[in-house]
Amino acid sequence: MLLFIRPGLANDDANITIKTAKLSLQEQTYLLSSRIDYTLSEEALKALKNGITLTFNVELSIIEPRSWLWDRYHNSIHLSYQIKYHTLAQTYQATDVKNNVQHSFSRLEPALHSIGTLTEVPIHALLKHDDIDVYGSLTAYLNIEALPLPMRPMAYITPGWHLSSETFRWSLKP
Amino acid sequence: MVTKTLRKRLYLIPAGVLLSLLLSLYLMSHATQSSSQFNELFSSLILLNIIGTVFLFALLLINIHWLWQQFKKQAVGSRITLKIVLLFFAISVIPTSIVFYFSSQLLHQSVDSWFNVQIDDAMKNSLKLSQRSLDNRTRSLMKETRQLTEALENESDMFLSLSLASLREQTSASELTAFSKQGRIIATTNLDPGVLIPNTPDDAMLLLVRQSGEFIGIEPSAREGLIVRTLVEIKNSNPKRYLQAIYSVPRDLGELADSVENAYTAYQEFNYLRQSLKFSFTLTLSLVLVFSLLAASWAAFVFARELVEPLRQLVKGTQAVAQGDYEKKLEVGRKDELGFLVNSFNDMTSHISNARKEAYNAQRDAEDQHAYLETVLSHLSNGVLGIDLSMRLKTTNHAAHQILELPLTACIEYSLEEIAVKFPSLEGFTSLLIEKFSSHKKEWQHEFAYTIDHQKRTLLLKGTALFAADKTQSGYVLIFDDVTPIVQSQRNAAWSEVAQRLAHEIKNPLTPIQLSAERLQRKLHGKLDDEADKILKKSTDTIVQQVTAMKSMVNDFSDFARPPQSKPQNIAAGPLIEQIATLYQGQIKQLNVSIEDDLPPIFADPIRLRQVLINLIKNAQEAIAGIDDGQISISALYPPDTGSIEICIADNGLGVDNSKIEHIFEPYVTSKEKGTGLGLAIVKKIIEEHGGTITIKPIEPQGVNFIIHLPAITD
Repeated sequence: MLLFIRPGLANDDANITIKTAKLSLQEQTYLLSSRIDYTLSEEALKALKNGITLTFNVELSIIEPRSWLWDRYHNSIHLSYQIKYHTLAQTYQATDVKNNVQHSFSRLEPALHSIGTLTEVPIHALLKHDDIDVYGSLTAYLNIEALPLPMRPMAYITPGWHLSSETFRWSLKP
Repeated sequence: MVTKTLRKRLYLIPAGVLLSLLLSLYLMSHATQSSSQFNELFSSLILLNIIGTVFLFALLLINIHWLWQQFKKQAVGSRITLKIVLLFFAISVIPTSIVFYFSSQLLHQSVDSWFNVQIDDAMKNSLKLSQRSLDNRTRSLMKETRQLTEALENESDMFLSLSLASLREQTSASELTAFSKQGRIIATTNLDPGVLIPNTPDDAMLLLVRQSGEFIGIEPSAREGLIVRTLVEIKNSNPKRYLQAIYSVPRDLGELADSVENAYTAYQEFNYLRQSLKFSFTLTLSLVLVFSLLAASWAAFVFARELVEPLRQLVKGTQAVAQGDYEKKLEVGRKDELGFLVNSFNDMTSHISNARKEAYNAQRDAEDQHAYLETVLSHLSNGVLGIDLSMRLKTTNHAAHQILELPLTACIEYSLEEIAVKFPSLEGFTSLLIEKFSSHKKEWQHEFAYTIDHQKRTLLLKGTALFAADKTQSGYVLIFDDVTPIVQSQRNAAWSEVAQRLAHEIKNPLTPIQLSAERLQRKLHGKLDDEADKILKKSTDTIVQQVTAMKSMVNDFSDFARPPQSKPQNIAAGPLIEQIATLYQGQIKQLNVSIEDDLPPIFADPIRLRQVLINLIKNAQEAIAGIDDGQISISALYPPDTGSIEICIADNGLGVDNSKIEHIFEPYVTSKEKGTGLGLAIVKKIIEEHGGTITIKPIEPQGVNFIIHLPAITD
């Protein structure tokens, strides 16, 4: 049903775009580096200005493509980032939920840029897959389920709240 | 039974869905509380409820479609089902709609009442107050930072680190950091020696400080609560350097500011979510309303079906009974009044079925009896007539038709008077019946003389009253038989006895008489004078002649009484007739002989048959004697499908008086002056001995025709 009501973008600007993504291996640990552009819709901006915390999820998956069967998902990891407007300080707070790191910004754009810039984020849960050809898959989206409960029904049927990126896939073959 | 159980199980599906939806509704209402563990399930619960609503709605549509089909077919119970459904719907829709309306109104008003201008202003003012309070603080901190930059003027990068450390100890700043124009860290010092990486400003801050030479901002910090970030350009520095000083807001002031900030943010968020809250509550209420209506409608259909099913069965049962199916049994699946009604129906059909079986058996017995009687009646040689009390003919049989030679079956329901009118020959017969039956005798017997086609018949009638099962008289029955052959044979036997006695008594003295007369003539011849001799001769001749004649007559009697033994054989009738006709060709002027070719042979004694033909031809010859154009016709033919050949000897003589025709074949009945009257009686006797019949029919204007039928050998 959600697929049915999933609309196009609210306007041309509101979008999430994954510019780059890569996984590098350092001492048996994968490090994720990515550049994600977040452009908010009017609804999201208005909610943010009214004290609503916006949560963006970044979903990293390791996929093994198969010819005759559906793709096999080896790992799936969620990274969560939040943007919040601090009324008293009149700053935007960008928080890396997983690592509990918070930065304040006087303007929204640097805050969005901050959560959109992933620099060698260690992904400990990922395993090495030397023997098979696997792909990395990265998706970023606004988590409607993290919105306050009364907002969710309307958010599901309002196009401006459906912010998500195209799936970014790249080969992990060295 | 299996179908019924299956139907009950099918009811469990929507009932289960309904219960699940009610549970999910409860969870939804619980989930709206922010602290609820079902918070994360809210969207899933809404989706589940919407799917459930669609399912119930589809169920309702199917039921409505079914009802519409039933209504179009004018099916039994469709109207009552419609009424029950509408009643249930009306009963449920009115209170639930009222509750829905007032709940919705109350909810909207309650939510709106939480927000008003005064509270809004108060919240904003408290925020401004906090900001002002912090502004005063930040201004003094800015002044302090400026003073620090003055101390750092003309300092080289090498000594900045040392200078910053000594300056930090003199001020209340928790962190001091020197940046280049590009934002690179030149030197830094922190109150906490464990913090190696300084809290860096973002690009916007750096841009502002580059443009205006100063930047000041308050930020929340995860570790220190609120912090004040100041950025000031270090004058006379080459290359250009900037000093960032971070100050912690005093704990008590920070907590107060946090409290104000949190309260304002919560209020702002709550205000922003006002419409969403209304929408969510209205959605939940709407789902409750829709569920209630759908559940009521579905329950109405279930209830109506359960109620109507026995009625439908009853109607089908009555229709089946109306069409003659008395074995119809209805299923009794209930123990209420409707079940009692169905039971009563089953008892009724059982009784009707038994009664019908008994009636059927009785009818069958009656039909068997009727068929038996019909068979007996139709094969009886006696004629039977059934007559009701109003003297109307009710039944007759084939034998009656044969005996009376009248189609009485066409006179069923005719009164006896009407039958007499239709068949005048039966007038005496019907009059006798009316007279006898009107006398109210239980039984009577009467011998009735009856003439059919100039043939005299004797009928023996036996009448009896007919009684119904309740001993009341319902009509009359007449049984009659043609006893003519019996009477005839009795008469013939009597005549034979007479003839035999006559022959015996008369023939014995005739021979001595004749011999005596001849002896007288012989002894006295020549002994008397001529005159006397002539008289003697004449007298004795007369005696001898008369005796001879008497002997001949006695022989006839003897033949009639005791005919010679017949020696029948297969003979061709045609040549025999031709041979006899040839004998008379010279004696009869007009003798017409017509004999059909290919006549079948007959089984007869040729001598006796010759005697018959000669007798009849002589009869005809005597009849035409003295008539100028007298003629005799002899014919023989084989009518198809009769099984007998027909020989006719007709003349146009004066013939027989019509009044005597009926008795012509009886002994001593003759129209001739001479003759014994035994000729035709012997003819009839010979023909009957050969299994044939002989009849006489008058010919208009004069003459008679003797018709002989003799069985032909066709094999």
